[in-house]
Amino acid sequence: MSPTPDTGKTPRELVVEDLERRIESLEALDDSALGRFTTLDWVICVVGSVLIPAVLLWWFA
Amino acid sequence: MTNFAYAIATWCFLTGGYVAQLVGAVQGLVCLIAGTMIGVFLTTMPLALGCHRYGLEQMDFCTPSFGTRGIKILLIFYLINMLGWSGLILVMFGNGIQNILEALGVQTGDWIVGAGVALGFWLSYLMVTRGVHLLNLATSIITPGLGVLIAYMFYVLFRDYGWDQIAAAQPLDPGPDPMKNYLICVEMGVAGGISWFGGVGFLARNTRRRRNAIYPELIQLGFMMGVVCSIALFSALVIQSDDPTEWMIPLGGVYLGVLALVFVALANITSTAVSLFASGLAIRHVHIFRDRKWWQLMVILIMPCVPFVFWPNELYDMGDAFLAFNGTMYGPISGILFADFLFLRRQKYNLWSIFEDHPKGSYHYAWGFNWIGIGSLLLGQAVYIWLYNPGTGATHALFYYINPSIAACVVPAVTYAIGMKLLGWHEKSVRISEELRNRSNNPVGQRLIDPNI
Repeated sequence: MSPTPDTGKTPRELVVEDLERRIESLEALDDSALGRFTTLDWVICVVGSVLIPAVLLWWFA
Repeated sequence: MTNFAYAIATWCFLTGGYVAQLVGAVQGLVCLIAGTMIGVFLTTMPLALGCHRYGLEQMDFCTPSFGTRGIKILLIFYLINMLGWSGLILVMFGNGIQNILEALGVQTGDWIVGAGVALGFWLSYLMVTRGVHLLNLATSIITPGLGVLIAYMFYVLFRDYGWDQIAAAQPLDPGPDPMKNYLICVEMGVAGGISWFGGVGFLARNTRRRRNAIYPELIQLGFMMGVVCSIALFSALVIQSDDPTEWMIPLGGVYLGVLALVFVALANITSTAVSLFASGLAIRHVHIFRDRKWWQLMVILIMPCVPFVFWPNELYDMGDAFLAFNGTMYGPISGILFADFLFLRRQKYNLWSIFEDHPKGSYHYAWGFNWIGIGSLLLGQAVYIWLYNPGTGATHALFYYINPSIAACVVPAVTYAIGMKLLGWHEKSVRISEELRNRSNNPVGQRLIDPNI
């Protein structure tokens, strides 16, 4: 592919640069910036999505 | 909003109709809600947490578990799932057109269904090639309308029939063994939940907070899908038809019924467009497609769906087997991702390594394939079919004690974890990645990135 006139880089090179920027940004992101998912959340999800449904399935079999 | 639109997509109507073949309202309600929630949990937890954290779509997220080339195998499963469902719901679209025309007094032949499928694919193509904003606009209109429709169906069912009549309605075509019928419906629920694999990452990566990536998916893709499927189940039982487009007019009368059919038709188009969009992103993992124009990718994806134009009802009748078949594909993948992301790697992936196109890359393993992951995947499929063959309906004695999708999830997870621990591949990947990164800072060295964006 031919380079773009503004940057002198091919579209693929621009895509690679964009991806590298995104990766650097995501890797620099601290986990705390994305909010928490604690043990309590896991307990809620397991109980609500697995245990209670399993009991109901057994009960109505 | 996007979650809900996807969740109440008309494949929920299909699933409810299939369950109505085998069990009544009470058992069906439990199978659909409870089964779907379990299935959604198994597929959502690793995918949503990982794709949200690293901004990945689901195919890229599978790279550490299956290898840089191994994910191409998953791509085949993924596309079969997405395009298969699209074909089925567009057959519903075609049936809907036929029912609308007949309700308006226009006599048609069966050819109208195939023509409807073709029209549906064309409309979906137009929607998906005009940009994501059009998809968002469509879902913002369709979603509230579908919500109203679902609520209205629920109201009419209980107003005109009442719970006693719904609960007393007999299944459409049950097998001789009531317990087997029940367990097959449990499996449809679990497999239906696991089938969301194709959309979970795509949805989660667009959220800001972790809890927003998890709870809406569990509640909407899981619980709400089960509820919508159940409303479809009740409709099928009282109308005594598994075709969703045959429920609307008896439930709502001619005018409201036709309006409902039109809305369902639009929802079918939107769901198909979303599936095509996600499939287009995924297929770009294959080099020969990477530089294709977007409209070309859409044409390439639609081509395998042409049989739905010529044999719509024959393929539609195989939909329950297809639903269960999804469990053979995504159950093992979900189990392996659970073991890999949550336990072996403690939710830490190396983003550079996912996109590195280098034989010594962290996730390249042996010739680009993580043979432990692939072997575990095949083992999981074998376990599933050994317990329950969705094509023939044959079951093993253990089917009465072990759900096939859950077994197909747990067994590969265990074999994968043991294999990776024994070979130490999950630890080796960190060291090699650092080596490569240091090399890339050297003026002589070069990092190779193989983007799929």
